[in-house]
Amino acid sequence: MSFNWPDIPFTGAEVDAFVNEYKLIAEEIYYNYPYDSLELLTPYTNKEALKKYLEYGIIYAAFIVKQRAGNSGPGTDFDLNNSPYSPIDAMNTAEKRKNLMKNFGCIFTPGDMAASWGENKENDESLDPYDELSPEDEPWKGPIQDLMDSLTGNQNADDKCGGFYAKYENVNNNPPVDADGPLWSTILNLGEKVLGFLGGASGYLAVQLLRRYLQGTGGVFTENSDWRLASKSGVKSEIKSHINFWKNNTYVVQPLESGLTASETWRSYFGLLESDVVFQVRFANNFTLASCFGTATVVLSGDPVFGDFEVKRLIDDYDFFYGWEVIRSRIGIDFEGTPINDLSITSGSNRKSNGEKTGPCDQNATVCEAIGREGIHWAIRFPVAGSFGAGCYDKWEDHPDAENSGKPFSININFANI
Amino acid sequence: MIKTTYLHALDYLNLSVDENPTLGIGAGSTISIGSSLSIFDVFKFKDPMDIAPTGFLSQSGFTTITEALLNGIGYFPPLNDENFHISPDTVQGAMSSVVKAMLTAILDNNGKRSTTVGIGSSRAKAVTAMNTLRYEEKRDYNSAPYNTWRNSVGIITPTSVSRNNNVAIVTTTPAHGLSTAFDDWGVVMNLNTGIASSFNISTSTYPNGVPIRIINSTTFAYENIGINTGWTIVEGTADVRVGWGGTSINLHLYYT
Repeated sequence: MSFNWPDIPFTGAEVDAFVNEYKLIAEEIYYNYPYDSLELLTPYTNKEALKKYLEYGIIYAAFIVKQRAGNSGPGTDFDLNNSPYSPIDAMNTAEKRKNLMKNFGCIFTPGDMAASWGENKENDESLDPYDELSPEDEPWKGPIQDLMDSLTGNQNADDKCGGFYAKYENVNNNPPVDADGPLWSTILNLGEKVLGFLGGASGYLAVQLLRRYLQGTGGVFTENSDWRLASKSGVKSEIKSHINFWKNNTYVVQPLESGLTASETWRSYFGLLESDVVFQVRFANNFTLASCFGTATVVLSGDPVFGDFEVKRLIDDYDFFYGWEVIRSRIGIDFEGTPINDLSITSGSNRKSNGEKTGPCDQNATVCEAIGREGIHWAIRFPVAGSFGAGCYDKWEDHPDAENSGKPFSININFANI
Repeated sequence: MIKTTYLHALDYLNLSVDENPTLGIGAGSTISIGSSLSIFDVFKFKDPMDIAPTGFLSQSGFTTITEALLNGIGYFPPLNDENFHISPDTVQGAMSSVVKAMLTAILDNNGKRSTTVGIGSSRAKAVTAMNTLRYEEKRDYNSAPYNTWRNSVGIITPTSVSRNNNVAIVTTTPAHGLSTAFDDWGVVMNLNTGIASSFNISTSTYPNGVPIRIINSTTFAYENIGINTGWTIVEGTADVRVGWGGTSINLHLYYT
């Protein structure tokens, strides 16, 4: 969808040049630059929201350039009746006027109206549909509430292991349990409720895959496994949309025309036709798909650059660098998507002293260190790292409570008949 | 369809009534209701000194819980998602941060005091813009804008301070030398004796210094919450920084 740029209510040589460049850069960001959205602060992770910020923000950016340029006209003259920005948009519908009046309250003095505005606009229930979660919902209690409190609070860059972890310091070995079961179970239920609201099939699948890992099911996740609430055709459609959007960017959709995926063993194992093509697809730009697969091998019926195609198969291993990881020899049929030998499961790279999953174990690794708590996405990592607990083990079976520590599994989904 | 409250936020409507004549912040908002509703408002960057992006900004109510949860899982809904209610402050803060990111990416001199479109490819500028919006651990501090944005542009020497109604006044010896042609100055105060240390502003609050208003050649003021304090002799330094601007970045709005 193309940008819907507003008119800039002032002109000038500097402003005009700036606005032209602004639009070019915005389009580069939106259409071409495959940045990793998971590295952005959360309010910027959604591509469509980012597009709106770019569209609406251009006027203020242009205004600042106009101010600096200092040439006459709107933007430099602050006679209030000559406002440089006089949009009718804010009041051009009955709904918007109603919104304004309601939020102002009924005391028509500027101070009281502004105070009412500040308070009411956050709870604009009558005009806008509202999150159906309520504070009375079961997940909001005990450790979950503490976790949310921790998330709400300021993140202290110098104390990444403080807050929630300080209160639940024994969580490394004994995750707190509430009435409904282990903490991670409650977090999952909450996550499913939230991700369910997201509307995408991959949101439900993300939670289901995480649930399978935490339940220690192992094995291979296929089209015949328990998808719970996730729609298979919906996920297939989302994958196709992602590939279609990025098909001309080989960083995101990278053809795999040689090596393992070109071998007869590999193609035969996954039942590829002669005409099928294989790509490595990075899902980092799509929050829910990235939560399912990260980067995965995808088999298509044809090259998306040259026409329509079908998503036929997705192949991956589901493991975590802050929990358990799988070491693949890539000899014979030991590659991603095939059954995992338990002896190939080892502690994740964040628990290894050299940061490599094949490296030596750091026996003193804590849950917090394993998570890394980089940025603010750590809550979703907590169930995985918390179930594993502290420490590091060369093999999955060495863990004193392996069955409850999570377990990687492979993904081999045949979408051909979906 | 984007929620009405978001649209108001994206149309810069914020209705701030904060005023401080000492700091020269006097615009505020005016609301009048006669035969029609009229609003005069002012929009500007909430932190007029730095470039670090804002996160979730809800301060109260159930929206705070929603935002905390989204913050924890790292998800932000599209603005037309009817299942979540994000605070308009968060939406407006995010738009402001994107504006800063684009200004630093597009203009030369890292976006400071410039009207000139910088050289460089669209991709390079896009990289700069998105580097601005990364969370702390993922930023490339060796690249624009973070590699130079918070650089000091000089050190001045405070010799006495006072505070009245949460506004600190600082005198310097010798004269601070800051040009009144610009209103984008800020300082990182580093006073080290007794009560004087209460005049320091944490860089956690203002990473690129607190914005100041120049009163005369030897005096400047800044917002500093604390008890009223008479003139006190101090020792220390004020590290001078450059930001976005004071009243010069006030976007005056007239809705009717």
